Amino acid sequence: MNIINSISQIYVIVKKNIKRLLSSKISAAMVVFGPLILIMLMGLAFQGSGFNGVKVSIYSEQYNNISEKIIKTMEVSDFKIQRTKSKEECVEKVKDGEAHLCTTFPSNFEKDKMEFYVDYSRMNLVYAVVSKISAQITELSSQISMGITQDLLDFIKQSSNIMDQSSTSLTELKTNAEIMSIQLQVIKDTLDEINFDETTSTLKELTNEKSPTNLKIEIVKKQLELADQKLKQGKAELEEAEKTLETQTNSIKNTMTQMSCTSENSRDLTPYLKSQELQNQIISSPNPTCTLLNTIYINIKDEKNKATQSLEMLNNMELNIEMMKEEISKMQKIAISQANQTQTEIFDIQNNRDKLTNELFQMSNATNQSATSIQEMTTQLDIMISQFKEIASTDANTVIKPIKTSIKSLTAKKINTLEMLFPAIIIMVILFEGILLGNSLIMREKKSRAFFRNQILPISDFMFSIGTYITTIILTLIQVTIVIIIGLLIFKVNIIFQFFPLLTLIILSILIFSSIGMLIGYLTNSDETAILIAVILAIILMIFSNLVIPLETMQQTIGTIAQFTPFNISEQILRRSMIFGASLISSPIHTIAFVVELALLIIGVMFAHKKAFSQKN
Amino acid sequence: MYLSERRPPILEFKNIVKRFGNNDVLKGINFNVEEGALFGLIGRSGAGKTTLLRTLIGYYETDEGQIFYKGRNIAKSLKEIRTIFGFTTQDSCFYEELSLADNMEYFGKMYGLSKEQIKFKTEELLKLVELWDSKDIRAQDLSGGMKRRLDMAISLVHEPKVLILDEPTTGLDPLLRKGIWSLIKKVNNKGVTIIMSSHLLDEMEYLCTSVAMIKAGKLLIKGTPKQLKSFYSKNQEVKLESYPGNYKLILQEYKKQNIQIYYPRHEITKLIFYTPNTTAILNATPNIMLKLKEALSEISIEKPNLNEVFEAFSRYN
Repeated sequence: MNIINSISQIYVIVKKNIKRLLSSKISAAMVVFGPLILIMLMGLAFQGSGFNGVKVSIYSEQYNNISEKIIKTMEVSDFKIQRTKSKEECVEKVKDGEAHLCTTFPSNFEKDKMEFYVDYSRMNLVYAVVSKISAQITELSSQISMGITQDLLDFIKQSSNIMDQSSTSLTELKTNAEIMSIQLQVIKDTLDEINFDETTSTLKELTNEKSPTNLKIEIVKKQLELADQKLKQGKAELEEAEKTLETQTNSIKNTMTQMSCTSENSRDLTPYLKSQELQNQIISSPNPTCTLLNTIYINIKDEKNKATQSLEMLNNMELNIEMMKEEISKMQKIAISQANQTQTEIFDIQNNRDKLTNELFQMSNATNQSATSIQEMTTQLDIMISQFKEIASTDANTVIKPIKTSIKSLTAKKINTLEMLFPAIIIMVILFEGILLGNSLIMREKKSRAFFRNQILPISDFMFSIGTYITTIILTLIQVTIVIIIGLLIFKVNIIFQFFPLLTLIILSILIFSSIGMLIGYLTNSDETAILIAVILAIILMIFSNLVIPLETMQQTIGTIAQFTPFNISEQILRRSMIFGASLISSPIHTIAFVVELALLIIGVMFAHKKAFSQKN
Repeated sequence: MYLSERRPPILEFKNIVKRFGNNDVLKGINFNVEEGALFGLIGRSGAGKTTLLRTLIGYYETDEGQIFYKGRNIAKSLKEIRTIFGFTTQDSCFYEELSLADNMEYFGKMYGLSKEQIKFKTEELLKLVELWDSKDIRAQDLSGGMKRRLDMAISLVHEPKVLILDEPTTGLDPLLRKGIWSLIKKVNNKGVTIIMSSHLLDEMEYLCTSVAMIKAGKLLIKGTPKQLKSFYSKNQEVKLESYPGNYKLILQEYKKQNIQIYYPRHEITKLIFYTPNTTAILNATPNIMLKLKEALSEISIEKPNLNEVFEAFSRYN
């Protein structure tokens, strides 16, 4: 019964609150048209790209491909481009408010900088525009960098290949150098092994007249003279014998002629001279005497011919000996001369050999050093090659952007600015409605003539707070509903509409903001102060939210604290719910913070209410 | 000081002390109110009347002392006590943006009345205060007197046993004031004990069956208006009006002739004072007027009223 009575009393309190609020036509109109105007304005304002109407004055001494590309990209993003004739004109346009930003393009992008002249008194716009343009320029720069980097990478790749080949060549070179070094050593050793001493001594001997060789030659020469003398002596004797034989033949010839010997009666018995038949033959010959004489004649003649031949031979021998003697003398002279020359040459050769061996030694050492150096080069080259090969990315894109980022919408459909801001708009409505309505209801109650009477009513102190909460919830829900309906029907906002989580969050948000408003109402004594505090607080909550500048860009402590303002928490939870369909506890820390803040505020409200409404001390 | 107490008390104030900071607003007040009485609290602004009444309803806690309703300490059963008490102030304690019927419904509901009870009481009380025909108009559109009557109707919606009226006619013209008086009488005639405060002593004299005078948080005297006037009846009130009205010199002349003058004051164009020597005043005045070249336009001598008694007690204490 008490509960029913209490509910009935709360109902009457709520009814009274609403009637009082709506008693003013302006108040009633604001409840309906306030959110309507807000959503219409926001809807119309944020349907475009967001940069429509942003004017950018530009200047360049000489526009080139890059600057034209940037300008084209800016135009695509709805920026209104105004070309100016000078840098001063470009800056003046910003100062005069004709443009929001002045951009100067250098003629040479590699040498000079692109400059932005901004009016920092419009910080928000500046951040948004510069951020957008910077993003576009960064993209363009990336493309250019990518080309340059790709060339560099190609060059590195080619170099790597060449180095690979060079490494093989160097290995070969090293092997060759080692072989050459060995060969040079072998040659040196071989040269070292060549012994000129014997030759030199032989040659020395040859050049020395008293040397055994020369002496032997002299002996040979003397012997040859002796042989020549004897030969001459034998020749004389042989000539004597020839003459004798000639005489004998002639004598035999004469005898045979005298004896009338003919060729028919004179047989040649020479073949039988040493046989047993000689006598028979002689006897059987027609004329044994002639045969005998003939046979003697033939043999003596034969001997004489032999003697003549021998004499000729002796003559030849004599000539030969003479020649030999001459030749030997000549040879001796030539040999000495040649030996001297050869000796000189051998000395030269020896010197040259020594030089050569020395050089070969040095060459061998140098070749060894070269081999070592080549080895070191090969090692270094191998390290470089492996380092080149360790360069994992050969793609310019990977080098330019080692961490690849891709901004992809978490929703199936890309959301527009209005959809992005839609949860914030709802929370904004709740914020202002909650704070101002909560504050207004309490202030009106406190300033009401009925305030005293309410204080002496036999009801619980909290009934009025509950009534105020419910009033705020009803009126704010009406406004939020209007915002959602307009958003869905007119602006076709694409949101995930989870009724119960959405309703729960909205009600909790209304409770939290109306608690703040009620606290302000309880703690202040004048309407003006209360409204001022409420508006300032609402503005603070708005400023320290992502609506103005990202919290992450704020000073760290402030940014961290700001994350936990009721506005940011409720906006974050609502955004996740509406855009991603997340649950209310998808971010537990924020949900806990939200609940704790709500609990503390409600306790604060109850405490403040008790102080305002209960017995006075 | 108690002059008489005939009936059993419905309310007992026992040594009530209330302080706001270092300021002692009520300094040990003791008195009783009889059931069915129309009890008046007389005192100047700041005397502690409103504080005392608000302490009675439990709006303020007492620093010392207790108030008993039919023997029950009200501080210990405040919620219940509040259903027994009605309270009307000089301000209109209702929602001006709501209609009369809405206000009746709201406060009726707050006192736990059913829909039917509210409907019945709304009609009954609005008819009683003669506002039934205006039940659907907004309270803010009512005149001052109507607002005061509506406030009284609201105070009576839950049928209180005790109705507290804190200066119910302040700011009203004499005609409206009389209307409120009539209403108060009607309510009191229904058996509702009424405790009212006022600094308009004539209405207290007219309405109240019993009055208590307080000054600076102290009770001066309590009794019926008749008892109070009898107690202090040796003085009479003289009202004099002359031209050019050099009242300071006139008073000096009275004093020169050894005429006792008490509590002289100016009220618009008149000189008002109290004196036991009315014959001497009447004899001396023509000569003084001649001497001071004043043209006497009016002189009246009346018996002392409650106001005079209050003034006298205030000065005396």
